Amino acid sequence: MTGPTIVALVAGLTAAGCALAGVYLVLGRRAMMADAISHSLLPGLVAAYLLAQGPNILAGTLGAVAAGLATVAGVEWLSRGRRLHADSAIGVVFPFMFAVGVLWVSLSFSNLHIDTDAVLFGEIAFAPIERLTWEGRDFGPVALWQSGTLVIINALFLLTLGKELKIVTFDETSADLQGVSPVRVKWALVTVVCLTTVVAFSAVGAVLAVGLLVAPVAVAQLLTRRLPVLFVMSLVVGVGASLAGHLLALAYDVSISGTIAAVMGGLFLAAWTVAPEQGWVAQWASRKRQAAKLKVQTLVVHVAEHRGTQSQSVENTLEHLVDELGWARPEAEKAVRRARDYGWIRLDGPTLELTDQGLSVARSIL
Amino acid sequence: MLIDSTVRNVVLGCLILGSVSGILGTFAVLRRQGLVGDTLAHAALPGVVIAFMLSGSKAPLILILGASVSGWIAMSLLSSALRTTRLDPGTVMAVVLSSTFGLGVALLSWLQKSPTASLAGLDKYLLGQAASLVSDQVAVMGILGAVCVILVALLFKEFKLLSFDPVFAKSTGWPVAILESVLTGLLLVSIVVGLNTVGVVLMSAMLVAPAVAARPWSRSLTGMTLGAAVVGSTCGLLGAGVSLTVPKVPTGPAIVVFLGVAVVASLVLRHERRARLPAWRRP
Repeated sequence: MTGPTIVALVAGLTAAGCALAGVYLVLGRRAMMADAISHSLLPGLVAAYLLAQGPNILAGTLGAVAAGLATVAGVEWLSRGRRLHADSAIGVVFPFMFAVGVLWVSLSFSNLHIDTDAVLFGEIAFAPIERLTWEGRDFGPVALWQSGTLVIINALFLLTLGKELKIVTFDETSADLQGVSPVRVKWALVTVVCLTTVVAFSAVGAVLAVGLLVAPVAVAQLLTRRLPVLFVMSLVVGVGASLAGHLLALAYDVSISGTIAAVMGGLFLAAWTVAPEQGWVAQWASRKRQAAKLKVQTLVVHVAEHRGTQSQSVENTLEHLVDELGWARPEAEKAVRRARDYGWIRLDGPTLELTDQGLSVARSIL
Repeated sequence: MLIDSTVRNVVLGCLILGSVSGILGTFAVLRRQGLVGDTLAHAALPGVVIAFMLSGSKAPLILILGASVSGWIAMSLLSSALRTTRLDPGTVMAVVLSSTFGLGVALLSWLQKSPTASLAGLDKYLLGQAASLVSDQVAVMGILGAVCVILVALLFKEFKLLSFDPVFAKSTGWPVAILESVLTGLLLVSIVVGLNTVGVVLMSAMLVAPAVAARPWSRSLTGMTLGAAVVGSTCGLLGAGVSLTVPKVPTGPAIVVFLGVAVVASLVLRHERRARLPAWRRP
């Protein structure tokens, strides 16, 4: 396999694993927990390397997962019963963990290769270089094994705990009745997210790990409300954005992880534009439609008010609408045209007459 | 000159940053916007890089302007996405934060391979480097910080109502939208001012931690705000002191560790004190 192919594979697999873990995280409104966890792994990594006396992958993973769990526990401790909003608790805990990590690295680990820049941005470009070797044999790039295992673990997690996750996420109050412990399920999910973040951040860095976990699900949430569709869409968006970002980054020779994150942001903007209900274009159009409908209803009511009176032939004309309702002429013309299209009025010379349908509409409003 | 100018710059910079971010962080915490600061700090990065690309200059004011513009755009996107979609605020913040930061990183890496660009100083925005503060930067920090503090003092009553009862404020005809923009603008200023001192990642703690530490000890907003300013500036001073005396200790992380200790100490002491009160006096 060539270098870029390996990088693309690692990026795609990591994105798939992240999307799988991200769905219930985002549905449970814990997206920023991913931000907290991904920034807190550093001290755990340092401690594990210190204990293992070297950059051992297994020890590093365990240490980092432990640090992630400690962060979530810290956030829970700060925000429980103390009237401190979870956001504020997160805002204190993760910079603290990151600061401890940075201090620890700069004080005792300058000789060991933990680069704080790499922690933030990852080193996916180097994915083909680091190989997994066992008794002198080369088993391929470590990152490939890591990201592949991640996808398998997360898929298994969803298969075994899918029902419980669904219950706890959508109907937490009834979870106890159904014999599901929300606390246990939550910690299982948090552990999986920690593991996912560890793998993702060694490939793409702390900040993009957040993007991979949250952004595809956010895009999918804009487009669908059905859970199975949400899963498929998150996977497609995550993997698609990773591959597209990788190609773009190669073309312009820029940071791969940064470009993938930016592409995700672009996809979010696109989804937000075209989304059927939540998109801003759809909402703008529906506001326009509402306003137009209101105009026509006003027109019909006005015509109904003066129907059969002496002044009917004066009041119920286009000219008069312009004068009395204070509408601009094109505006009035448009309303009249639309009312005719609906079949609510007909023109009798210059006088506007209600049809039977228009009359019943006006009555229902009045 | 009694003290070395580096020492003076670092100490002054950390003092200004600690107090200003403590004051504005108080309102952010009360309005449950603890992580908005983090989002804006990340969103400032592409602005800094683009400002440098367009101007070719690293003058503090130009970079601060760039950071403010991109932070403001991110804030507008965030609030309009929250208005129009059903997404959770945390979800939108995570998306905005990671994609803007990613854009910044991509632009930065594009600059890095262009041989004409001298990057020194730009990457300091990521982790901050108080030791490299120069007098110009400290002067800008001081002026912007003073503007923030004066505006907060002038609009204190308005911000108070906005933080505790925005619905009432709106119903009595206050220009809530304008006040919110002013408050967010000030928050943004305090963030971009702090970026080259403590960096993108740690900025959130500078805003949130002083307010969290001060909150249990005061029943009034004035007390909490002043308390947060004191905690912020004290930790800023302590962090600067440690990083100046102990070799290899970066300033930003040192300040944040002190802030973390302050939060835990505050909550534990408060808990102790409450436990010692007779039951009928416990709040």
